[in-house]
Amino acid sequence: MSFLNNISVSIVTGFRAILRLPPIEYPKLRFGMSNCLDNDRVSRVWMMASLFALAMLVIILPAYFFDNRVLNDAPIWAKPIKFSLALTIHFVTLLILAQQLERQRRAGITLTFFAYTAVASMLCEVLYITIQASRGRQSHYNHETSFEHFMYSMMGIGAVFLVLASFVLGLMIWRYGKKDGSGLRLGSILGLILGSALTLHYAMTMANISSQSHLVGQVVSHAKIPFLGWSLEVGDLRIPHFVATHMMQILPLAGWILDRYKFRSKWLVLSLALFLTALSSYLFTLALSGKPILLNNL
Amino acid sequence: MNASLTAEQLFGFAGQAASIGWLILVFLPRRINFLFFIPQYFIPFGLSLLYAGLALTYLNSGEGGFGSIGDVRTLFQNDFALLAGWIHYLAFDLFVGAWIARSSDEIGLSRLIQAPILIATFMFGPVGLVLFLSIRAALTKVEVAR
Repeated sequence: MSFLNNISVSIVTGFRAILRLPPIEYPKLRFGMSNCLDNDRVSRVWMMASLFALAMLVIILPAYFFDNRVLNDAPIWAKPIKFSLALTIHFVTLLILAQQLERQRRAGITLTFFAYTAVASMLCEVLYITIQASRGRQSHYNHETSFEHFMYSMMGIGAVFLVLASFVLGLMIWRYGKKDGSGLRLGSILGLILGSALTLHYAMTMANISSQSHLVGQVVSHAKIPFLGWSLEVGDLRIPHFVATHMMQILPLAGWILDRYKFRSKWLVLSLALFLTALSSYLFTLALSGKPILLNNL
Repeated sequence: MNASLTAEQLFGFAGQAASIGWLILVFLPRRINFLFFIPQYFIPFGLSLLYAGLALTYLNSGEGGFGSIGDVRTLFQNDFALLAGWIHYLAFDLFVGAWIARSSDEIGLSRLIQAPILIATFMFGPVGLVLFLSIRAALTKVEVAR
């Protein structure tokens, strides 16, 4: 595989040398972030992907303030807002954690493939969710027309590519990252691998559930957590999905902080990973049995 | 205007011209300067000429104006005036799209991410512009090697 990497890198540099083109220098990120970020093609496409998702938020927010429509008890733009925010965070995470690999490996053929497929999936997901919201229609669980049914299954494939990128990045940090025994390294590996695998499992269960809704149980009072919109009344499968997916941020961040304060980061990160895995699977069984997270109305 | 061409026919021609420009912007390589010249200058220039003809003929000759929504609605009751307004969209959107494409190359934005921004500019002009400007706002200004 490293043989292929070498070839792909040398082809690009070779072409530029033959054509006597100067090496490309692009503008960098503001806020001094570029100091710790490389400028290879994978870092670049992930940086731009997160900026794109954030830019989507810029155009969705005015719509959120203008639009009074409601879909499934929620403001119609709540879902596009949540998705563009979440995908911004996802790609920023991939971008930052990928810096633990050497440039040759990061910009190699394996990660390039998974990076570009993930970005393509993100673009399709965000655009489709936004277009469906502006039409006042559901994007997920929509089988009303054959096109929407088809798009719903395509979104499933897109979601798989989104978590495949983080899963493969986790494996590559494990295999090729600098083996310094740091909490950041362990947190990145556990967060990316466990987070991706659990997310995929919960999301697939959620997608194939017979009721075709992220809620399990009969909704009467519509009690919800503000902003997040999770049900306080019936089982809500989005909660374990949330916990599992954000292990990708929590564990590396915990490891990094523990490293800085010279704690025994290894054991703490490991126990945090175990705790979050247990928490998400508890929330998952709770949601599947139709129970809310806070039993305030029983 | 040539009286033998109906507003509907002109609408069709203008739409086809703009679509060709957008297809070039989204799918074809940027290395060949002549190819990029078509959507950046040639088609917007042609559409602008068509606009000039229609606008100078129809926008001041009939009823209505730009003072209120009612005035604007009255003005665009005339099919040729409406067509002029539509071609204004097509010409300016394509020109802005070409500017976005060029500037995106300068900041090293992948063609994969450029595509949805350009399509957004094609469909909802200002939305695409805001998407691109927001992305560029997060980047520093650096002298770019060309």
